[in-house]
Amino acid sequence: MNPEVAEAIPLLREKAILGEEQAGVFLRVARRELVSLRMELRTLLYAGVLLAVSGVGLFLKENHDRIGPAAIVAVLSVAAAGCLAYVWRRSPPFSWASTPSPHIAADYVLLLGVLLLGSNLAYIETQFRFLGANWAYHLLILSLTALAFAYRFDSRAVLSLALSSFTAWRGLSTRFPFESIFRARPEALRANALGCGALFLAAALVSVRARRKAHFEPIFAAFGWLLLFGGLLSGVFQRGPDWPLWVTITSVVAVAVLAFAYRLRRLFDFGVAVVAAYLALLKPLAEALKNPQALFYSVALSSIGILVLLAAAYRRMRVRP
Amino acid sequence: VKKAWVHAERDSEVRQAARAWRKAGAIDDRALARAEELFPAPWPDPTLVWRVLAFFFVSFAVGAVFASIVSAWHEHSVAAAAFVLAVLLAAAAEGLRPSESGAASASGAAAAFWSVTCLLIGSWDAAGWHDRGLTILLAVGAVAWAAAAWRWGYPAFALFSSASFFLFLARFAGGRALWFVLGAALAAACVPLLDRPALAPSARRSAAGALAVCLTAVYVAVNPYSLEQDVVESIAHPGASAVGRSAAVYTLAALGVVILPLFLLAWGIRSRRALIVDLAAVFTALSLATLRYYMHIEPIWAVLAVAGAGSIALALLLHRWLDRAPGRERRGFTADALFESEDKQQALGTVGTALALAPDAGGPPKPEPGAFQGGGGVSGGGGSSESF
Repeated sequence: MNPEVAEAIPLLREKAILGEEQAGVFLRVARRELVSLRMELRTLLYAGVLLAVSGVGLFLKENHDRIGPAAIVAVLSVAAAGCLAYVWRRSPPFSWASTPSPHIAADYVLLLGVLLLGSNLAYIETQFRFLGANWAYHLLILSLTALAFAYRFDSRAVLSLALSSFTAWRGLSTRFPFESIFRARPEALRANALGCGALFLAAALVSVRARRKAHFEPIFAAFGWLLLFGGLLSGVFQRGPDWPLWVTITSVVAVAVLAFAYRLRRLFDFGVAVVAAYLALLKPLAEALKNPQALFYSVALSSIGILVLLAAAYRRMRVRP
Repeated sequence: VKKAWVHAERDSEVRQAARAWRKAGAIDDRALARAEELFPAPWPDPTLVWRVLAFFFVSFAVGAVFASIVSAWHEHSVAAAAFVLAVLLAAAAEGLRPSESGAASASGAAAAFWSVTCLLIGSWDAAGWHDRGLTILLAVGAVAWAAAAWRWGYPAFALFSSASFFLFLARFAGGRALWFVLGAALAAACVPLLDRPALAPSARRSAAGALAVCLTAVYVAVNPYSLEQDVVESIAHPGASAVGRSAAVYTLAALGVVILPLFLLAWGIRSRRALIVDLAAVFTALSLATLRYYMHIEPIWAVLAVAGAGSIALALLLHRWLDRAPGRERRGFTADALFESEDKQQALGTVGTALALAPDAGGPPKPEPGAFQGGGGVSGGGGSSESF
């Protein structure tokens, strides 16, 4: 129950701000006479997908020699096809614009279908080694398949899976980002992070400019900025001698993103750029100040300074038309 | 919470409801503007990005100031440094809490959090970093978080306070009985507060948080697995040998984990409280997991797959049942979104997919001849983190 809203609605009705019918519905919700279970249903569906896919993973592990590859591939294929057929039957025709979800479960069943497809693909590759030394390409195949399904059925969750599969193909993990950092060949990983970041940002730009699934842009952009700044910061904090170059590049990019994000009031981009710029500037600060106490004071003062600037930016971003 | 803050909070509740109505297309811009004019008091509600940014930089500042004070005053002055910081941060939180700026208000929340944390660090250092010190720390934590929740109106602090209180109780002999008795008593005391108009909205949310912790404590106290593993007792004496209990106690506990979720479900449905229904669902899932543990239902993959398929089927059936009802509602429950933001729920799903369901970058390990090695999350291993 929300006593404030329940008390306000008769007043809003009296002032003719709300109509009779509107006030009636709003009042029922405020008095908890009508309660939505939408979030609970979504959580139950998501938990179901997680549990089912985990069960399938264990099933593959425990039964591969008893049942045989052909049967396993058949079972997984039928299950994935069933999920995809369910979604196909209920989905509206394809559109480049955002389409309303036909059913609360559609997105989750689609996700389950694509994940089963991915498990099947990985199993086939592990068993039959079609791709040989290029086994990682099965992740690219999964990524492209998921991308196609994401566009066809307008699913943000499946797009997220497509992008994380793509980064996994390039050796970067979204589940364990720090694991990627400490792996061997940091230069190659950095190059991959920067490349993937640039690619996703380009996709974000194209989505908006061409008005092709423009509502996917925030997902492309979020992955893009995180990978781009992650790659740049891995250069800043490397042990090699060329860190000043990476500090410079990171600072320049961060300032450009800050200006862009401030202008367009893009809070997420703004936040990522602020943190990246600050972390990048900590490196020369730590190198310049050998005395730990001076460093601590500098970090404290600079953090407080950033907070003051953030408060000012918040005010201006809200006020600006 | 100050009177002016409560007034602003109350106005903010109506403003937020009006914005939700507007977002759902139920009212137009003019109606929204007039509603906001009628309830004008500003109360900041910073977005998640501002909250994270503020917390990040306040944490950096606090950590650096703490380190600089300790290094300047030498290591034995940890408590003094922590107490000084606790006071300074409390003053900052007091000043920033009602700020109209979301960024400043979010910084106030972070300052409040670190103020109590510093107080706890100082208390533990002053009491000595030993077993008794931990008990004092938990007692101070329960009081300090409660005071902070009451003063600044952060429901999360009420949750921390309740959790600290139950951990404190667990430090005594008979901790489990205290969890059961006091958990039930405090839960009963919290219920009337949930809808009391005289309380500030943040205080009502704090009561809801405390209620959730109390009911969780009761559930843990009666759970047979928690009894067998001495989950509560090990908080006081980690690694102590298991307490022997009679079969009758386990039978009562087994009844408890069946009755409690059912009771909560019935209560939640009757009172139409989503929080209680959610807790009932979580406890039911835990009870089923406990049942599997004792009944040794195998194989585990089948249990997971059936549980997953069952969850999806249950959600579909429930949705259908609600959707096909006259007026698309039954007993006051509906599957429609009403005025909640579906964008937020979808965003959570998107982030969850990237974090829990994404393939492992390592790819499949080299297989032994004829052996499948799925490598956990490889290609949608569904977050199964096991390496196999």
